[in-house]
Amino acid sequence: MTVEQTWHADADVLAAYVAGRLGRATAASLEAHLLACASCRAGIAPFAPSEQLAGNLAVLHSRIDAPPAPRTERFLQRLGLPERITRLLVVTPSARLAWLIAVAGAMAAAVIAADVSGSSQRATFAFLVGAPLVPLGVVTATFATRSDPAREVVIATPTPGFDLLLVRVVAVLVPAVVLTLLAALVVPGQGGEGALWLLPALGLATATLALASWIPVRAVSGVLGTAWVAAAMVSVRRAPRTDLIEHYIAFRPAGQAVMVAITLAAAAVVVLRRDAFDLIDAGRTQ
Amino acid sequence: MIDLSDRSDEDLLLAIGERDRGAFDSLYHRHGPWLTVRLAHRCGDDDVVDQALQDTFMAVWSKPGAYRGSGAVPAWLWGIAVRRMIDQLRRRPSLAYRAANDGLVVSAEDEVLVGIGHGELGPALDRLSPELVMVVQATVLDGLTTREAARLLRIPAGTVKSRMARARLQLREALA
Repeated sequence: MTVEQTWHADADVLAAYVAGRLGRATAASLEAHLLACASCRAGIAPFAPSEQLAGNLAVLHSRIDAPPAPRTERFLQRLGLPERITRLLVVTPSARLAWLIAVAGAMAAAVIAADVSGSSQRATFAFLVGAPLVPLGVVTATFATRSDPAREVVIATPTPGFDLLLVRVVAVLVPAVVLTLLAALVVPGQGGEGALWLLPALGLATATLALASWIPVRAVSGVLGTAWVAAAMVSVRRAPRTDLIEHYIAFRPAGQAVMVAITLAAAAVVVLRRDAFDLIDAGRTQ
Repeated sequence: MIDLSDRSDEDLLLAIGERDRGAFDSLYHRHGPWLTVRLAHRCGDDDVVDQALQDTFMAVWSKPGAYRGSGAVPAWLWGIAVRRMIDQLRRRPSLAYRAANDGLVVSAEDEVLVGIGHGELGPALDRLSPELVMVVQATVLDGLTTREAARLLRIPAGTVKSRMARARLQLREALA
């Protein structure tokens, strides 16, 4: 394959090339020559950065020994997402099949329970109150760092904490919201009733994130989730069975508008306090 | 670490196809150094160089059969390496491909060292404007297609072609 070379670069020339001291034309000639000349290629080795080379070989050995990237991750990479993002996405709980099955199972249980309980108004109400707890729980599970399988990756990643936060919030919320929306299609309810949970869910999840910049996220979501359910139960205590939804302020137009306001305000807080999330990702929340 | 193996590159690739780690290490010791140096001349960022080099050898490890036997193994390796470097640079908009020995137009040391001048070619290359040098380097020396060079240099493909034509004209005039 290789044509015998009649000319060889001596060590001084190779050293000068490695150090970047050759002029353009000479460097170009030498590079063309190197492609064809094994002995000059070998002559480069003594001047090449040996520590860097040894380090890269060590990384190569560990990459060869590492299990191949999960199928979902390779798929995301083919879509053009950089590896540092895809790695985070796949270690985010929502990307795991088991996790999706669990959420889907919870939704199915809610739908079945709704069917069994007979009274359609009551079932819809139970679903509407329960549904916002799913995204809330998902966000909490993702950022309660002790149980977060992505924690080590997050700490080691060069991406700013806030970008990570956004990527991961989207990654956990989208599947949860889609699944809940699917469940909402099956739950009995008239017109748009089945979607009334969506704005409260957004409000609760973003408010949790915003408050999590001051208070541990588990405490926040525990208090907000309990308050949400308690308020629902108190407000319908005296209500007629057929008119439960109208009695919970959060499901009336005014309440929905308040949820929008809470979502926007919380999102603003999250953006303003983005530096606080670097600390959260470093594991300080616990 | 000097590679003592006297097996040809082609033999090493065959052995790598049979998951031979020793053959992989031999190939790395043989080609890692010059690839690293050449990549470093194209981009000053160590991280990009490391990633591109690792990705190159990972590609070799996972698909040694991609080498079809046309052309020499070193040129094949460089073709992979420069494209992996492009991938890295695309993810880091703040970094750029650069001309080797940019700003260095010293031919005196070369003549002393190499003992040969390049006739009129050296000075002619040195006189090309930096944009033209980049295009010549990317396409002629690094073997990229017009489209790849365009993406690498972040300019339209038509601009690559017109700059290449201008470079050709200037070199021809200088050598006439």
